[in-house]
Amino acid sequence: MMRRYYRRLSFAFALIVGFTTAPALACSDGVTATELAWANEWGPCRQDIISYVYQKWDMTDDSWDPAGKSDDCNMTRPFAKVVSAVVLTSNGPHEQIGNFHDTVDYTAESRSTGSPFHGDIYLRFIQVGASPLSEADSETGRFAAEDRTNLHCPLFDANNVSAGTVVNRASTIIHEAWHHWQYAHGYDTSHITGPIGFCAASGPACDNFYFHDPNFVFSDGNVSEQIGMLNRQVVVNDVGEYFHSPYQVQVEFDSDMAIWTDLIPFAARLEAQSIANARLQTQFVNGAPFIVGTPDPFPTYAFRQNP
Amino acid sequence: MRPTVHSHHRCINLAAERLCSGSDYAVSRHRKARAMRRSSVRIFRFMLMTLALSATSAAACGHSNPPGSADFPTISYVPLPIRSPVPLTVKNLDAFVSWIATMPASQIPDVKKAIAKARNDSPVVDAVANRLSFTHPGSYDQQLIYLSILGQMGNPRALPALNGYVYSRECPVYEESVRVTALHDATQFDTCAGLKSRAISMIAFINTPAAQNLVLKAIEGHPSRAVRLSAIDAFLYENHDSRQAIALLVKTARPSDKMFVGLPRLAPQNSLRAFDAAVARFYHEHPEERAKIPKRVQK
Repeated sequence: MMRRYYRRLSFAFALIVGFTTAPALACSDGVTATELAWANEWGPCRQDIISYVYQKWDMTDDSWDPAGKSDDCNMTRPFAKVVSAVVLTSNGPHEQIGNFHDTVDYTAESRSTGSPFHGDIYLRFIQVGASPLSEADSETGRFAAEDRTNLHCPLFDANNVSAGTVVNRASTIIHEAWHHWQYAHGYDTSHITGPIGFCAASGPACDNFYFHDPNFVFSDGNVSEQIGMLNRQVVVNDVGEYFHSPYQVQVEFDSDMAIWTDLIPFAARLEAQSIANARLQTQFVNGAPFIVGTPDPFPTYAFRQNP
Repeated sequence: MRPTVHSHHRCINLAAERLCSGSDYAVSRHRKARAMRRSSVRIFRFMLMTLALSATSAAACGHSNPPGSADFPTISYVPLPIRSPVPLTVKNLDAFVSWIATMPASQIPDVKKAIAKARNDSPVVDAVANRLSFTHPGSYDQQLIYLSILGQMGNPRALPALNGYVYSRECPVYEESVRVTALHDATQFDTCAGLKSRAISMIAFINTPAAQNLVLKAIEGHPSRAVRLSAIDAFLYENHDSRQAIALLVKTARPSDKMFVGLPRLAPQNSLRAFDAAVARFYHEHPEERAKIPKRVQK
């Protein structure tokens, strides 16, 4: 009798919780032809890869349950889309000259656990962030709890003008991981509040750009494209000091994907170029001194395969 | 070589995760425990088995890969299919866009040939232009593809649609948006500026006198800095970065934009040495744009 009573009570409680935590804004599920074409190149249902990303990018939080965790081959859902973005990250330029950084660095930096760039964190899926336009945010220095990154609907949405594209998702995960790098190295993890200088974004969504050449040569002879060089900091270079802000590392990744990554669909490279340039022109307080690619309808990108 | 280590844990398999969390496992164990309640020997055996299984699953759930190793599983990629060119017609428009969305960059010459054949086909221009939308965009990618097709067609018939897109009120750029300060840091992206910047570049690519006028107007007066700088870049590109074009834009551009006239393009066909020199020149002329490294803060 009592057991039945408790069951009813818990059912009622679940109903109340279910209604009160109902999302204010649901993600618009769906997949673009470009994203699907990319997924078909690597899987998209390879359980060993999915499992690897699930653990190393630590998507074990319950928040992924309604986001397709139990439907991990379904490319219309956020869980599978994160896996696909991570695989994309691992396919940037490798052992090449002329790009900003090696794909091994981008991948190691973006992962949640065992990263040489920062302490362990975990990824959460939270539909709406600080504003409906928020793509993601990071929580660092949490009291008696593990730090984390929250990914929001605009990174996954289909059928609207948000850039819920695979390259932007990958580069945003890299951006958020850089906040954890900042924390690990004792820097302020917050953005500069805009609009300010050349940054048109409203609120804390601006950074400085610390330009370094692609193929920047350090005094010890290493170059910025080599594995591990993304992790270097405060080295005087010919135009200032070698350092990275979160939006900067994101733009450098987008630029590398657009110009150097022959494996991914052309449309993904076009989107990488477009997003890199728009970020360069809207999200930096100081003026960014270059443009990614040429303004052709169908730009010429490099045809190179990683070794 | 890309480091590839094949190790991955049994427990990280999503199906096996239930074993780690213990839910299914606990249920089945509970049933078995009821069956064995009357036999102390059976209970003892059960406890031993439980301990052994728990130890196995705990070990499988642990992290065995060395920290920082770039140990991504080996992936045998299936290259993007090289598809037969799709003719660009009103009827085929979806198939044509789908082809561009899924093809490798190596098929760009085929796409350009197909577009050249339809260049003067007004119904095709109109059909593509009708797809430009901020309310029913399909996706960011699709809008970029429609814009690229219109730009590559080079047909002035597309100019009103492209210009309407550039100034559309349906998608306000950052500078036109209501200022709402978020409570805390959040990554954002000005998608409207991204798409409108691409549209002004396509107008520049059409490169008729009317198109050039639209680009110059955008350089003078578009509210979005991203659109203005894209217009500057595209105008110069279409005019081969000539001194005359640079001089014209230095006169036309807003005072705050003048320093960005003639920015170097990071592109594979350009010399990396020339690019580095151009950036160094920019910082020599505008040393105030060098950012200072932030100071470390106490945690």
